[in-house]
Amino acid sequence: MKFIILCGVGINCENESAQALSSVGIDSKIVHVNDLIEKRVILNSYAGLVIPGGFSYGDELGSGRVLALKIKKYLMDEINEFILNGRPILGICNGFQVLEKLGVFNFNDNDTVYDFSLTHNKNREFVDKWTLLKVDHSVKSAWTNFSSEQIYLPIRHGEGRVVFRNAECGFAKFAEKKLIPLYYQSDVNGSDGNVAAVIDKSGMVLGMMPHPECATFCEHSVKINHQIRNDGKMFFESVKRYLS
Amino acid sequence: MLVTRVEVWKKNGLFAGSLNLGNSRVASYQEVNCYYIEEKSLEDSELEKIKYELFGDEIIDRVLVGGNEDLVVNDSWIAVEVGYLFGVTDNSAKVVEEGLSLLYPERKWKASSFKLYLFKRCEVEEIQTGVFRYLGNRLINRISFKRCCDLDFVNRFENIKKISTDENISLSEGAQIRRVSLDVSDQELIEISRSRCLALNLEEMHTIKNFYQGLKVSKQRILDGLPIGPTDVELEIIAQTWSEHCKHKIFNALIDYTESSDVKLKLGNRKVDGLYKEYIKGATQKVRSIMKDDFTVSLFHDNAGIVSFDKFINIAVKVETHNGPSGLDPYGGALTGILGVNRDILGTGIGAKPIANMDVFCVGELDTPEHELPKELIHPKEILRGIHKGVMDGGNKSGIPTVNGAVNFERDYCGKPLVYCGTIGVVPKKNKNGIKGHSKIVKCGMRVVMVGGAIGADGIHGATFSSLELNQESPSSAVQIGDPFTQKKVLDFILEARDLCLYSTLTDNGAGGLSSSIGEMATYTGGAVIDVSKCPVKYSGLTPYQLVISESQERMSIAVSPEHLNEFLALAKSREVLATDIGEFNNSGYFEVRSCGETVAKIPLAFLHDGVPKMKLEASWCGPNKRESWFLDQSSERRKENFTGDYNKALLLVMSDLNVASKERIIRMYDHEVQGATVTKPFSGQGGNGVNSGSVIWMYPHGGEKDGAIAVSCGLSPTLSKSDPYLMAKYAVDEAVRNVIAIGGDPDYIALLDNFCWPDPVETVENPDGPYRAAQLVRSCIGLCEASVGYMAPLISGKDSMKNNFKSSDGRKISVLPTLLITAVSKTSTNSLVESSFKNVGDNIYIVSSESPSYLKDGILDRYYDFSASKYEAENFSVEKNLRLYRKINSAIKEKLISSVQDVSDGGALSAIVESAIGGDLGVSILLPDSSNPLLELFGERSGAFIISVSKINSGKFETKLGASAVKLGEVCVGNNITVVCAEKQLVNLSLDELKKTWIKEEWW
Repeated sequence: MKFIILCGVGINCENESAQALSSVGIDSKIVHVNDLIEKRVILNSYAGLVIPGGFSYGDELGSGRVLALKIKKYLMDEINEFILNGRPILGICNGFQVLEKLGVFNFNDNDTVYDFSLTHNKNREFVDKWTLLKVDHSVKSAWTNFSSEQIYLPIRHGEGRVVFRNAECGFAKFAEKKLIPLYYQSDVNGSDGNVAAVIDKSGMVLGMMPHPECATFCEHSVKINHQIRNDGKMFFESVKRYLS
Repeated sequence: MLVTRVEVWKKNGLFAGSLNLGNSRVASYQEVNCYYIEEKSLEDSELEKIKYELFGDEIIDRVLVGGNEDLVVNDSWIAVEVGYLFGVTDNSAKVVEEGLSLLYPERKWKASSFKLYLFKRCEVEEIQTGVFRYLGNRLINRISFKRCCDLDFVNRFENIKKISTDENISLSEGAQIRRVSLDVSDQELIEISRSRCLALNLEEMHTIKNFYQGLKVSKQRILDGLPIGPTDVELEIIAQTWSEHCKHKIFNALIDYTESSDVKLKLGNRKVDGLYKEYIKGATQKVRSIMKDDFTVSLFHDNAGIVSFDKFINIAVKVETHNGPSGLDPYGGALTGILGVNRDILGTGIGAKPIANMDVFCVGELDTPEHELPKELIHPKEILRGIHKGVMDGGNKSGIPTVNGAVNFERDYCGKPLVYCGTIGVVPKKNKNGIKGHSKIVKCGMRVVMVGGAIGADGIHGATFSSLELNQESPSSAVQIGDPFTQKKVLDFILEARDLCLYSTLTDNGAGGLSSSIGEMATYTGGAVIDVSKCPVKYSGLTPYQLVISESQERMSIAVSPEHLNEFLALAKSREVLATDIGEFNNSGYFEVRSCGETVAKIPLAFLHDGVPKMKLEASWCGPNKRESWFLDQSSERRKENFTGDYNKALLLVMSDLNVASKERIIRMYDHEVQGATVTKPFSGQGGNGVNSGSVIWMYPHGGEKDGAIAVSCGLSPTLSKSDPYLMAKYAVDEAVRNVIAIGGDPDYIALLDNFCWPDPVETVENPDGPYRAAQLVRSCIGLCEASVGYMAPLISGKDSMKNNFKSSDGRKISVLPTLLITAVSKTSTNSLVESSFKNVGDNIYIVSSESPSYLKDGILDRYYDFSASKYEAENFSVEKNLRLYRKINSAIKEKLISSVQDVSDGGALSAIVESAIGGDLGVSILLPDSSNPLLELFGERSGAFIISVSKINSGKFETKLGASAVKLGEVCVGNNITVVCAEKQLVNLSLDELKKTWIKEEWW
């Protein structure tokens, strides 16, 4: 079982993502996006894909936008096939923004397209802090099959605010379709419904703003109520169980 | 050419808001991202497509490309456009071009970006000052004001002239060689130096003149077909190489130091043959001769100092300053500062990976009255906002965590802010081929490859400019904006190529551009030749000298073996990085520059590197000069009161002082956790509000041993310079050392970095203070040396910035406080981590000290109350006694006897206690011994002291270990109150909430 971790063009969390996977016994290869495009590495010969956090294309023109454009142009068929084959994809932070811009979370219901966007935090500031999240376990995903209902993870973003098209009913529809596995316990960035993560309808693709890869080892933890929390590891354990 | 204007509006309600434009009233406004794109045959249908594929998001944005759309703009509004002057880096435009090329790869695109601000219901005059101050900087931005009813604005989507992007610039100077005649009078020599911004003094100009007039040299030049005198290229290369910035002439000068017989701390008259050799290198040599395990690996010749960490990896550390550029354009200056020091690390040894950034700012006080500030200066509030954003973007966008720093506020930093940018890197002990990671191997025949951005006229004369005083004529071409995205690609590519062993070694292009990087690398083989006409350029018309000295950013110079060249260049191409073969290393003895094959400079390396004449300085010390205010109206100065015994008030003043107040809001805007290795973070405690004394980085994710970690922190105490820079330096070293001890650092493995920022110590007619500044410098170096040797902590790297003066057009002089920043890096383990926040109710609180003396004068409280009496002055202290204490504390941390540690620094012991209490969200009850002097005990600042909390169970063992050094002050308790009682009198009784509110001061940041 070997995963691909995307790197290059401003992505910057590839090493800790590899370390997080390896902590649960998943092997991985860090691959430059151009090596996939130029077919030096073939996506579909791997078991899973992680698009890590970072500042692809310097966040110019909106975070994730230009990398998504590039993937759409050269790799979209392979990504779609990957999802169809039931292979898991995790987009963290900038990776989530890329997946969102690719439209993988969009769905059609009664001839209406439901989608959302990720934009600047309400106060327009980047923030790095650990935050409490609520897990909705009625949402089924390869990545969130664990029992904890409250978890701590760090957030590190300036453009993590989820805005649904038609705020009220858009959010309600995503929730009704069981596509929102994680919520912030407090308003950290102005997201509609405090949404912190979204899955696609297959449950194989998870996009999340918090960073599980940076909360995988006990050493990563901030001490909250004297407890060591490495809750991020659960996401990787979950996907390993799913694939085993 | 068809030019299209694209405007990206936020949909209603998302971000429209108000903007504080300083003294102008808060204006209601909207901010719109705009672009011009240029392409020959852009169809309307294509335009429709790219509107939402590239520029905007359908859910959030409305993208306009024509004027006929139903946009609600009121005629009375003011439209302000802020774009870039040509030649200035436009990062958004570059990405727009890349994006368009992705969509339509067969076409050539050109773009520029700008912002449109719409202000409702106001007049141009009302907002003009604010716009120039807050939204654009006229050194780098083009700024226009229009009324929304103006025809210009109404028709803004039509009739657009060609974009003034870089490629349209054709510089007027031709590319031919020019000879500069030095066969002129002294006055004309000075004029040549001044008008070309060479920053060379008369003696140096004479040295160059004499060199070129020498018989042997002129004969050789005739043979080489070169003009007898220097070419402009040669003169510029020599000036860059000999600049204070590159050659550190002041630190190498012969100094005659004398002191008067009545000074307080006598150090003794002396003649110093180079402060650097005597006190910096000297200190390190001494330390290395007495330390048990010499962990130093490579010092004083590479871009950064290298020390050994474990059997797998070495650590490289470097701290730089970028003061001058940050004074002119705070954002661009700080951004290029941090990206520059990242490249320093990348250019160390065979290439080190940056793993952490550190930044320290010294700026004017934020409440400095606008009307007192010379009109050509930027207000400290704006300076801080800009430099903070620069360091933030530089670190965040490069994926390097910003883990440590400080902000210091003092009136005299108004003239020039100090922006210290530091980076820690990791390099493997050996590469796959067994080549040592710290080695710098260049062989004859290796190619000179320039990697990174193209060259423009930006940043010409950066090195020489930083060696001049900031004044109203400072050149704007010395200001640049960095491009973190391009640099991140370069960084990833180089580390990949390093691990594939595709190159031999490298260095960065920093100050002086190619002239410095190749000029220096050439010394490894004894020569190099480059052809600058091969360099990729941003626009045509650059002369050879401009190409050689341009400081265009994001570039590295790399030595590549011919057999690896193709593979190296192919990898670069696939990683979207520009790499160009521009020449060869040889052993000719010359640094030769060609342009289209023709030699335009050929300078013997020996003269280039060792020809600079030694400077001689006088230094005389008669005690501190009385400090004079540069305010026009003295009544604007803060008035000091006499302390009357109101301890509550004093504590609130200390906690609210900007130097003590929490900077959490701006620090959390830095990503401090990327790379997944920051184990002790800047903050700790229940609510994450407690401030740690430094950060700890786990080295396992970086290739180190499983539980290996480094502790990093810094120290500075510039206000002590007002009394004695000797003490300033010693206290700064102690603070840095004590900070790493407080987070679990090993006292027997500490490496220090010294960064001096000084007012000009060279005496001239305009600078009569020279000998006094030089004496301050000598004293600080002696203090630094003593402390380094005393703590057995080698100085592994450093830098100096010696022209931190400002002269305003109305004749006022503002000089920074002589400031020495000490950065400390220590070794620790993930098993002995400790933080600053109180942990448990009932824990005992101790002050643990080496019985070092306390002072109030020049401390925080001295800013509000009068403590000028000599009994409050800072005194000398014993480094050796402190070190003995630090070893005991380290052993107690390792034995896990300690719940929390906080060093006693700005504001004294009580503010340290309050910070730990806020972190733990717990109350505190303090009972001072009857005999103590509460004022000194609570607010005195000192070396060698900590506030440590220990659980009841461990207290016995702890007290036995620390003996008389630990004095119990009280305990951590339930509730929300801080109380201090002395001799049955309650001195302090304040709620944690009130203190927290005062201390966090959100509105300032």
